[in-house]
Order: sequence, then structure tokens, then C-alpha cells
Amino acid sequence: MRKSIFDSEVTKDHIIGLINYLCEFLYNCYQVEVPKEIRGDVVDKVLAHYKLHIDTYNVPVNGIDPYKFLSWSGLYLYELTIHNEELSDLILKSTIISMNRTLVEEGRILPKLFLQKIFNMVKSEYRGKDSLGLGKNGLYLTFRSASLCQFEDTKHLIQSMKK
Amino acid sequence: MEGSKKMDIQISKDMYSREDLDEIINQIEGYATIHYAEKEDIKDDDVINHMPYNSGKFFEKTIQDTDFLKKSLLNDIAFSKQIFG
Repeated sequence: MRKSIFDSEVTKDHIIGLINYLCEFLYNCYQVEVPKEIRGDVVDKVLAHYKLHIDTYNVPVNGIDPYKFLSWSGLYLYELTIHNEELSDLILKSTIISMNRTLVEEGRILPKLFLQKIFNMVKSEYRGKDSLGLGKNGLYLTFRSASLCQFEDTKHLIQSMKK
Repeated sequence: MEGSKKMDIQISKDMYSREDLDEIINQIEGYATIHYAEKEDIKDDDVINHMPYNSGKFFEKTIQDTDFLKKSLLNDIAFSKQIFG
């Protein structure tokens, strides 16, 4: 029988760490409580979407991508509260800060103005300006791309393109 | 001279636990099993979904050490105020 990523206790700890960090940040920074039941609902929805994503794009998985998890978790909560702009803004800010924390732990930094821009572009997506916006997949891909980016001598690539 | 008020970080009563997660996993394993990619499943140019090492250690520590979680939240709250005011 094929192994599941949920056979790993470490992966389970990662999922728990991720959802709790996002929600505890919301609680302490903005005094927004996310009840345990809602956290469970978020995890359920995110893992189902994760499965759909990896099947659609044939992605090999050895653990939980924190950027996908945080983006989809945060924006699931954002969508739940979309009728309350003030509250949903706090959720979006918390999501971006949590994703930024993950990136910083890997030794990478995005400019502060860029983090503000990400916030504004996600808002645009959900508030009637989707042609200018960034959705839950764009949000995760922004941070994941930053995490995967590496320095490499590209002179040979540039030279080959000039031929 | 009055000192500045230090923010008190409180961990909520709603912390999600291993038992809570196990309940969800038992329910979804039928329709949303995420298989672990073995070596034979992986092509040379694949980018494997995983938790990066340092981030993984960070999130593991936040659930093992409450003081560490509180300090990290405090740092991020301060950073958030720089970004979003």
C-alpha cells in the first residue's frame, strides 16, 4: 500500500504549527478569535484543495508546502468574512505576515512595499478589480517562487539566446 | 519615569491539536489521500512539494515551546506594524 504524507508525525506537526501560527497571530495582533471548530474546517478544506491541486498538476509531494497551506487557509478565512471588510483585511494582513515569516526562516526577504502591494492586489481580486488582482493561487506562488529563487550564473543562457 | 507597556502575548484556548488533526485525516483519507512521492515517482526536473527545512524546524518549535511561539508572534506583530501600520 502506498505511503501517505499523513503517516508522518512531523508533517502533522507542520500542519498544526501552520494553522495555529496564523490564528494565534490574528488573535494577538488583532484580537480576532478563530474557534477550534473553524480551524478544523479550514484544515479540512485546505487539504481537500491540496489534493485537487497536486492531482491536477501532477505534483510529487513529500510534505506540506507552507506557502500553499497558509495562502489557502488565510484566504478561506478571508472569503468567510468578505462581507466585513475591516475584519477580512486583518485576516489578509495576518496571512501575508505568516507567509513572510516562513520566507524569512529560509533566509529570504521581500521588500516591505512589495508586501503592501501583495495586500492591495489580493483585495483587488476580491473587491471587483480581478483584472488587477492576485488570488489564492497567485498569492502562494508569489512566496513560493521567492523561496525557490536561487543565484546562478546565467551568462551561458543569455549567450545561447543571442545566437 | 514610566516604562513602555510591553505587549502580553496570550495563547488562545482554541489551539488546534494532534487529536483534532487526526480526526480530520481519518475522515479525508478516503477521498483526499495525498501519497508520499517515492524515488521512482520523481522525474529529474520535478519540483517536489515539501516543507523547507528551516521553516519546518520553526513551526515544529512553535508547537513544542510556548515561550518561543510567544516571542515569534511578538516579533511578527512589531514587523506587521511597520508594514501595515
